[in-house]
Amino acid sequence: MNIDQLLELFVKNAAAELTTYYYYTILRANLIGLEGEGIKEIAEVARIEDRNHFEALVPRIYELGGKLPEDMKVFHDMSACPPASLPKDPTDIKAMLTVLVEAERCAVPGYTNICNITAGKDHRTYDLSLSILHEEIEHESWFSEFLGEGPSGHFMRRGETSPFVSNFLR
Amino acid sequence: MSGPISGIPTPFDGDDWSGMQDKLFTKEELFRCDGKDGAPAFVAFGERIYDVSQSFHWKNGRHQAMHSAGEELTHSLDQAPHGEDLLERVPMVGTLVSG
Repeated sequence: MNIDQLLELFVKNAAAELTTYYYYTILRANLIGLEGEGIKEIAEVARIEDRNHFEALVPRIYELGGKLPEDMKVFHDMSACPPASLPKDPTDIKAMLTVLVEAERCAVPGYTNICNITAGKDHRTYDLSLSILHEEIEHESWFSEFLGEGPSGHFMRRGETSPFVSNFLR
Repeated sequence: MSGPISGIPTPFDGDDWSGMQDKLFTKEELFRCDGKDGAPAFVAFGERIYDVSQSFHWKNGRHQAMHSAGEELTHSLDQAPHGEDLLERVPMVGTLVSG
């Protein structure tokens, strides 16, 4: 396992989480009307959990000897995922959901990759990455189901946010 | 490597890829398409060569901190958390030949 590569992946994913938190804030603000209000709550949960992922990733970055860039603009531009930008027509709920599901579909393979790299080698990083992966997959499922892509085995989060990652936030 | 490679259009000069699927690349030619200093970013999967220059996930010719453009990535894709289907999203620009 190459620690420098792992740290680069972690910093890029931390950037993706924080920028997604920011872009989801804008999406959430625009989720209005009968349809928009219907998905606002899951968008908000995903937004808060993405921020939690950032908070959980940062200590591990420093534990491994890495650091965050001093320049926020540099941090934004190194994100592992593209900006989850507001669609041109924010009243187009399908377009909004597509932005949301695509953001999650960027995150899922990213954490899967980190799990693959660290499995059996770096237990703490693996556990953290797997915890985040569980939550990202649930986010993807929620948005996918609203898009009607397939039958649902899920329901929105009950109880506190970040049931998997909360162990790393204490 | 400094600037675009002669004979290989970059995706910025018209996006006309017609006929490019027939272009043959040696490993050396592929290696020079590393996405750095203005060079296009090409990767090979099997014998097929794809242009990933426009992909967000291949900025500066690097992917997931582990992979570089200009390389043959067949075995890497076997271990990737995504399938070959993602390559359908980028243009195929040629064929890798031995030599």
